Amino acid sequence: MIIFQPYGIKIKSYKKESILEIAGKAGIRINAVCGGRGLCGKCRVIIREGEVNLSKPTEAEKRALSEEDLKCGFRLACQARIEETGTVIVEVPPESQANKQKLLVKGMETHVKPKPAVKKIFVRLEKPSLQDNTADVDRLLEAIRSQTGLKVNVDYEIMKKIPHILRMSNWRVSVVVWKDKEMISIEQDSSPDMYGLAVDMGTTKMAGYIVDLRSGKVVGATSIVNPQIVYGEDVVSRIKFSEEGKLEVLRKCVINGINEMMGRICKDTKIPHERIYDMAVAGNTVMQHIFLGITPKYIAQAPYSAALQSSIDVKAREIGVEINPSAYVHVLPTIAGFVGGDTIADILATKIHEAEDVSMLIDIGTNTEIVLGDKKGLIACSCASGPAFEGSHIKCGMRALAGAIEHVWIEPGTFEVGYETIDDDKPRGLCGSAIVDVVAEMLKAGLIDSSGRFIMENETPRLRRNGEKVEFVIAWRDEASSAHDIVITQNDIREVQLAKAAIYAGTSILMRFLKIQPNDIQRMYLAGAFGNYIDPQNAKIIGMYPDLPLERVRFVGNVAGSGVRAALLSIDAREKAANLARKIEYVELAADPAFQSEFLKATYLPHKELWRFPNVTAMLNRTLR
Amino acid sequence: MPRKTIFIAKKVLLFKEVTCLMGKEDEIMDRLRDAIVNLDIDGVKKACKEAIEAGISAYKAITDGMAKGMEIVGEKYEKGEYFLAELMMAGEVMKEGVKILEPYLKRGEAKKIGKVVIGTVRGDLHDIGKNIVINLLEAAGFEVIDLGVDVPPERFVEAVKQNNPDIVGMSALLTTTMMEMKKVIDALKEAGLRDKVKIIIGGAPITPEFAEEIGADAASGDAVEAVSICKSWVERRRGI
Repeated sequence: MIIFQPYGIKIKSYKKESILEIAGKAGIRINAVCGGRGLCGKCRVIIREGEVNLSKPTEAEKRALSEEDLKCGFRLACQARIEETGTVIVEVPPESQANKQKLLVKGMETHVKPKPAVKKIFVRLEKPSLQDNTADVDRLLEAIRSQTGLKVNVDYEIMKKIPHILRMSNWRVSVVVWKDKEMISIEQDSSPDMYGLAVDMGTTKMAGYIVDLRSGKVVGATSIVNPQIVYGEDVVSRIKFSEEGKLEVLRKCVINGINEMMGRICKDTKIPHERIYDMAVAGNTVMQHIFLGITPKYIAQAPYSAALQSSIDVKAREIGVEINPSAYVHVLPTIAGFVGGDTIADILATKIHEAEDVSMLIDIGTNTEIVLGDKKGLIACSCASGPAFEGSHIKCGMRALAGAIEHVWIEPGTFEVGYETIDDDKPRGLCGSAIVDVVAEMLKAGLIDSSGRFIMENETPRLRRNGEKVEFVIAWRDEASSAHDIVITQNDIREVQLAKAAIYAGTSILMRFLKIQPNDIQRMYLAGAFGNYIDPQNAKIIGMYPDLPLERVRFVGNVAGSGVRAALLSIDAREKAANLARKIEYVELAADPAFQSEFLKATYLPHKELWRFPNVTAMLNRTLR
Repeated sequence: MPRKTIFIAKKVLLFKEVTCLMGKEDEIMDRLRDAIVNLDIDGVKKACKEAIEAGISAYKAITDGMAKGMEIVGEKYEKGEYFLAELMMAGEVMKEGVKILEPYLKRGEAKKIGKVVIGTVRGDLHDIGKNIVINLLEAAGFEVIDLGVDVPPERFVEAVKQNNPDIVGMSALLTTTMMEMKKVIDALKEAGLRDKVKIIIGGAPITPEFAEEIGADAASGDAVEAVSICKSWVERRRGI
């Protein structure tokens, strides 16, 4: 029997069947770009138990996986076959899962004990009489005090409703109290339901979640493209736009986006807007400024200081989000001008601030944030990695939409290309994960050298000159739903080199700062709201992050969403966030004298100094031979 | 490198027809050029020493040897064959060679081809692009005064007053800081220095239209282009 994790699916297995075949029978789709021939290495799984019941690693597996990875239980699903009866527990890591609908709203699940900022209290009042004609509001507050011990104020808009609702409900009401000090809702019914809205505001995409504040469960989630995108792709161009007196335009955009997401979830779940009593929101520092209507202008000028670093609670009606109008919106604190509340959320979700061992977190985007450290302390930096991994500035690049090629494999020797697209549509372009794959695969196949240059001696019709420029064909026009061949150009490779060099240089400078070696990093979290999973193995081959055993690397997707939910659910988490924002040391890369040389050396694939990438070098030597 | 062997073999054949010295000189000049193209520091150093020993003029070794190599490097960069690190490296290699040859330059030959004051504008700390330009300018024979990063307009003005350069170069990576360039140009105008210098600007968000808008003389798309624009300016100036 085989048990597939994280699905918890059990299925009977027969001798000689491969794990890939068994997964297929169980309805679990695992990536297999090469068609299960042991060539592409995309069907990596981790054997958690029962390895003895499987065949020994094949030559193909020894090529695709390092010795260390094999020791840790990594296998290729197409190669590992059942030899003996007995239970095998197989974990399919996210990057190998081919479930086509990869929601960016998915992230790592973080366990948080609910301790919401709001409480719902059912209050019974004595009816007024001639003997006791205390005013309504005072009567209610006194009842709350005697029942719960809480001395609360009343939101002005709520105050207006009190006399009416008290009488309508026959002096039995439910009230919602925020942070034990302010009454933000009064209702006639006794429903205990309390919901909250968590929003992760990305520069490119936004994700919204409605959470049951009592159980902590997510009841609905959705995502949209940030409507501000029409005013510029990156934060700096948004700042520029806001300077032209258009801050309010940008602010409305993001508020409308949030309301749209909420409307969609509320409609699906039939949750009334007024039952959403709390909201937490995080984004990069610029997005948070825009959300609050505070000018982000000075963030983009040295010394890059923000207007606001600590968290803030603002009335929903002032902001314009259509949750309960008297409720508060909690905006997470930030670390620095280019390391925002979303990075705080990443940390809350991965809990690296509580870990004994050293962890590194890389949240990949147009600006990539990196955090390094352990429970004793964390440092952070931000690198201008550019939008290449989101498919921008790449000739045939596109976002992770239907028809985007998301995985690529190139067969060494023949240079034939295998690929998978989102929704199995005809290919239209390359999304971020495919772009990482292509560069890694070309390096492995000897199509480019470590300086990133095409090696023209390779004979294949796919490698060709287009005028002065060289390009490699990933998908021919007749197989694609495009008028042109889908290609990767020399310039595209250069873009990837710049992007990954910025990230690696950031990791390197942080490591130097804490005087630690790559091998001291016990956990590497790769995050990013790509909407699809980059392959950690290939990201390592191109040298995006230090050469660590795969076992220590986890792709956690849009983990910021999980962190915002934690802040929504628990005031303890908010307290932690406040501490983190104060304590995390920010390292300004642009001001670091070592940055230039680190960056230039890191433009090589995987790096100019190969001793920094011993495992990748060994692997490349094996495949190139 | 079989091609190179053939190349050298051809030169060996030349020996018989031309004088022995000429052949030797050509061979050293080719090696100077190739060592730059191949980013070979040791090769350049060796070829420079041999050039001196063979009595080749230091000036010629730089301009007809290594500088030719830099041109090829520039072409390779434009075609995408070379990338930033190679460009930077080529500049470094050339400078190593120049260090060896400099003491042998005759009076007048040691003169730099032009003077450039350069800096990243106020509010911007990014300097890799600017440093690559400086590296290539120096390799091309310019004297460069680097004002560093986050440079306010006053410091540009002051540096122009003090150094009397041919060219002022400005760099900005952020769209939010590029307007600083206009402030620098305005400050130069106010100080009556604008017409004394050519102004070139560069950086990710910079376009020729923007250069025109703020009154700069040129915008360069990359470091190689920047150097060739600067060279054409000083050559024209000398031509007059």
